[in-house]
Amino acid sequence: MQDINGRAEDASKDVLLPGEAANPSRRAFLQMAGYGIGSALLSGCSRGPVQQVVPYLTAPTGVVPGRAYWLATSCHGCAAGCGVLAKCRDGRPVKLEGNNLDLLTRGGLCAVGQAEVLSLYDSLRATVPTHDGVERSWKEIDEDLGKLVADIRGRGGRIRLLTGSIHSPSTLAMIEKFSAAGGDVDHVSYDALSVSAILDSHQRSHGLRALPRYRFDQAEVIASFDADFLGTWISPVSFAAEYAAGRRPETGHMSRHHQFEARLSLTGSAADRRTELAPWEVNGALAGLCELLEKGVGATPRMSGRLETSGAKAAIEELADELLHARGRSLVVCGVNEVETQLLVNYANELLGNYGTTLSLARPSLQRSGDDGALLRLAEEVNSGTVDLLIVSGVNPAYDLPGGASLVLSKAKALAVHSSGLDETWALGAYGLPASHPLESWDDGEPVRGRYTMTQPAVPSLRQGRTLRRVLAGLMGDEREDADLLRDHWLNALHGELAPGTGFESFYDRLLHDGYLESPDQATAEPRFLGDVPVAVAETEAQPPEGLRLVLYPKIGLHDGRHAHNPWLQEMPDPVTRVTWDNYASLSVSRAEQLGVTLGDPVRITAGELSIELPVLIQRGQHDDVVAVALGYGRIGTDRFSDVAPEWWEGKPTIEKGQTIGVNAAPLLAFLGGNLRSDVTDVQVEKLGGHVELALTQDHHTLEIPEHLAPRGHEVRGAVHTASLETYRGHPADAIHLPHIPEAELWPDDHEKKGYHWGIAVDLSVCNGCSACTISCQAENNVPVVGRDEVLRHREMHWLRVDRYLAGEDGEVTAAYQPMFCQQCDHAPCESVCPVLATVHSDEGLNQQVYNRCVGTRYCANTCPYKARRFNWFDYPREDRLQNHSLNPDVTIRSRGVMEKCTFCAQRIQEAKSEAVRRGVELADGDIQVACQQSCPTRAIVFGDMNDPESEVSKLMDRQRAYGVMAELNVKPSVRYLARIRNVKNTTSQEEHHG
Amino acid sequence: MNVKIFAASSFLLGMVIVVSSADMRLPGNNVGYEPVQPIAFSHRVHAGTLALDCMYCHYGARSSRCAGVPSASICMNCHTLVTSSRDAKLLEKDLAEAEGREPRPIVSEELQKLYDALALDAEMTPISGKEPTPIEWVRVHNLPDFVYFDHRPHVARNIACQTCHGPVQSMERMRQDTPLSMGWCIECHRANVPSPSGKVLEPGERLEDHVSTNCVTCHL
Repeated sequence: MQDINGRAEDASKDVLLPGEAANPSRRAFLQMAGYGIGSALLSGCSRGPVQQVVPYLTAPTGVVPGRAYWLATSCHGCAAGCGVLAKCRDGRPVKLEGNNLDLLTRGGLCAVGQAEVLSLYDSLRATVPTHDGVERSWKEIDEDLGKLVADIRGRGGRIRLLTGSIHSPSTLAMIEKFSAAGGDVDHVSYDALSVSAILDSHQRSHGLRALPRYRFDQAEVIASFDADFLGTWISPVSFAAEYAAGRRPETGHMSRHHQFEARLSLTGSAADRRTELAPWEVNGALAGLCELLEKGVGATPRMSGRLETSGAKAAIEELADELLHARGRSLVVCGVNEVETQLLVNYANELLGNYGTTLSLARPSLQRSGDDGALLRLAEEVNSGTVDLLIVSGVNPAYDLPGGASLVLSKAKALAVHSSGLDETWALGAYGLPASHPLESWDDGEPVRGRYTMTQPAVPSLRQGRTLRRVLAGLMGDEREDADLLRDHWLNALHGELAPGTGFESFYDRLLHDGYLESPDQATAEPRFLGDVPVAVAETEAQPPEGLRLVLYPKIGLHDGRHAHNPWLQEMPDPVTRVTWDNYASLSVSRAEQLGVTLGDPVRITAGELSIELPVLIQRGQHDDVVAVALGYGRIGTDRFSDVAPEWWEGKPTIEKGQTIGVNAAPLLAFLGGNLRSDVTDVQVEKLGGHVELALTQDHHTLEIPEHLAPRGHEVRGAVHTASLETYRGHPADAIHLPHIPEAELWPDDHEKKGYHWGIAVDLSVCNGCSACTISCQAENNVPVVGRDEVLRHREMHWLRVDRYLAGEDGEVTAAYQPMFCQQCDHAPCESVCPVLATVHSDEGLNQQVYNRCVGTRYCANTCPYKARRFNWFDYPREDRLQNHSLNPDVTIRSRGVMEKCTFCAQRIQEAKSEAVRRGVELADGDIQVACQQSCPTRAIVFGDMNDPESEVSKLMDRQRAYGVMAELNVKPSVRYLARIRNVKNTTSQEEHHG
Repeated sequence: MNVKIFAASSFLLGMVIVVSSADMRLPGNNVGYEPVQPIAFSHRVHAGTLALDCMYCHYGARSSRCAGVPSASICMNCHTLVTSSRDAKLLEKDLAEAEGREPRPIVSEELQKLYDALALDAEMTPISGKEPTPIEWVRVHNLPDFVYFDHRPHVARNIACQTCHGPVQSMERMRQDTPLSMGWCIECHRANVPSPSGKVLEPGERLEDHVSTNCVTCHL
């Protein structure tokens, strides 16, 4: 219509001759307009534009247009290496999901893993290799750089390879081959989020530099000192899955979890007893714990007098008592990167007899192998100018290492950088070697000794990237394709050991099909404890005399900053603080009062020469003497998101050109005792003028009436119910107290739902708030990113949000998380108010939202008690058009002026039904997995048919702790939440949760 | 008066556009749409005279949402050997016999376009230095972007292709024969099998056998 109108306007220009009737009368104008519009309307009845269909010339085998296929591969979002299934449509991946054949993750995938599909289509990734800024072909690079390598080898010079943790057997073999080919070649790995001290401490205590594999499912008592193992620590997906296995009050055991930490983390939120413990108190507390354990097990007393100085004496005593009752079935973990501290942890686990049961060194984890000591030695070598060639691969030392002890990359005589090209280090390298994205690469992995994952390309290379294995092979004149390098390694090195006596072809096909393999050899001989116990723990960790201690922590979405270019993860609200698009300085309530700052007031955090300026966020549950700042912000090139927000007269860009999102806090990390520390910097915090608005999502979309609006004091709506395990086991009927639900039918004869009646059950006992569901939903349902300014206007579009409710008094604050989405009410208020029947009920109990009928009155959003509906105030196109390739072709792209909301993944329901009809079978329980359910690492979300009494969802809904949120409104939601059961004693009353 | 000139010409322009669109119809109703295709493929010959199974070429209809336009490699399953009509070949054979020579290969004008697209010569071997170019067919049956029609359940229930696509076996050139509008779809969904709402299933009767009139059946 628009261009037809446009043509009519052109015609008028043709007809009006110059000098004639430049000012037609009103009547004449209306005549003209009438004719113009009339003819345009008539012509509007013709057909739409002609469309072409361009089929393949030769169709690839197995690819049917419009039909999805799945490839088993693995995630490289962090070093955990979780198994992944890539859903591909017409030759390109559109969605990643957990691989349920991966016995480590059991089919879960975190938010970062979900978002990897978007970074594949990042149009700013480096395209071709460069040398001194000039584009080169790989052949030229192989020759030039290969010749340089050969020269250096020939004269006995130094070549150093700096990488992150690598657990790919084929890549490690290639690195070994590269190192052994002559000259002084060495490989150093480090992790920006280092756990090097755990490995180093086991070298001292067990004679083996290894990271134990932790088994949270085997532990009945879990003590975590500042280890956020459900959020970001080592392998959160598999840890969360195993932790949740021990947190189901009806089946199996219910573990007891103590958390000691300085800031409120996801893991702390889930704890049964959470104690605020400053970083400088950890050693004292652990030593005190070991002393009590020594007494308890009757071991030679080697610790003495440490507990009295600990601020957490009561909690430690309670913990020691519980640990002693669960010897061999308990687990102590610690996230502090100090060898002495970790030796205490090893000692505690040894006293409790946990080695071999809840943590294992016989089959250790290989997910972190970084060595801080080796990094420091490398920095010394580089800074002294004696390294002839430094190859940096997959890490970003120019960004994530502290200022003081940093290695000066420019002092290497030659620097080659192998990365995506979006990082700070890339610009420094003389040689730029583009890395291929994991979804376009061949690779393997061994996250835990004897457990293998495979990576295969889901799409042909979009860029000319190579894997590290292929780069090193190229430098040694090996011109084999990467797929062959990988295959040959498996053929020659691993096949014989893993599947002796079988044919390789079928073995390898099976391996690629499953994406996961366990070695049949399950060695169990644990190394012996050598008795290295730190009697005198370093006292360097005294309380800061004045000022505050800075605690730096990784962000759930951004990790160490490697995902800062992913808009989904930038807009994902931090699960604890609910902030998007920014970092901030977290302060406790009383500390903020003392400093005279409130939410959004900028402060300067100074440590010696360095200082950063950040807005304040006030966080309950944080230690008073600590300021917490997230890592991963301030990345170069994040001003690419300046175009994310819609353009309109009041709109503001998400970020100004030339600036970065947030501020990099990594320069404030420090090396102490040879380890990279995030919790040892003492800082001064001073208030600055001005005010920054943080794009928070916690003040809206919560179901609580704010205090100043509540009629009688502080009204609590009971969105989250909590009960103690004691009460639930003893008197399940009394576990939760629900308001009276009136039984009234609005339209008794309507919607009988004799077929399916879809419903979802969410177990709040195991939901830890990780927000994997939010991103999974975003990927599945083409949910747009709206930008910082729109979030500030409460217009974020996430169909599934995770509400956070704080509970408990200061000092013992915990939090409950509640995934909240359309509840598909049987008495849906939204349906009654829609004037155009754009939202109507299906006979399977869904509130259908019909976009093409919606005229955007927004009545439905106003009437929804769950605030589950989202309105398209604008068209929200993707700022990177290449990323449109990851759009789900089975879901409509909603346009401006249309209401949208969770559909229970109606496209998946339809797909499963169509497949059932095609195969001539009935839909079975579990055939349909909605996106949030599929990715949930803890299996907290279950979808199914409520009409089938045998379905899992029906059984969950029959439990006595199941309730509908605000069911008292008689809206009859199709979602039931299972009350959060905490393993606490002496609590009979329900806890109060605050938004 | 120039205003009148403008008004008259503006109306004329509108009429020209209307007349040029052949016949008037409601917006979106494309019944009778019969665009010229890049290759004059005849459904009458293939589906009618030769009685090929529709799903020999449109194999996606069985297993996918989309029936799919066949790739050129599907055509080549037969047209590696069949390069022209039988009559043309017989004519050449007779002519060659009469002239006492070997018959020349006869390639029909339309099939030549197929071989050109695949960059094949008369011996069906790739022509070196020539890039194959995909064939850009003109789409006939086109639903709006917010409709997600699925061929699978219809094929599985043995609904004849002609129910929606008309007498394809007699169409020389593909033509849209039915409105493919929502009202038209729903008519069939309502008439044939009742939706489970308000109906108790018989023992052994499967829920999947019922046709749905829910919005989310097609609007996802």
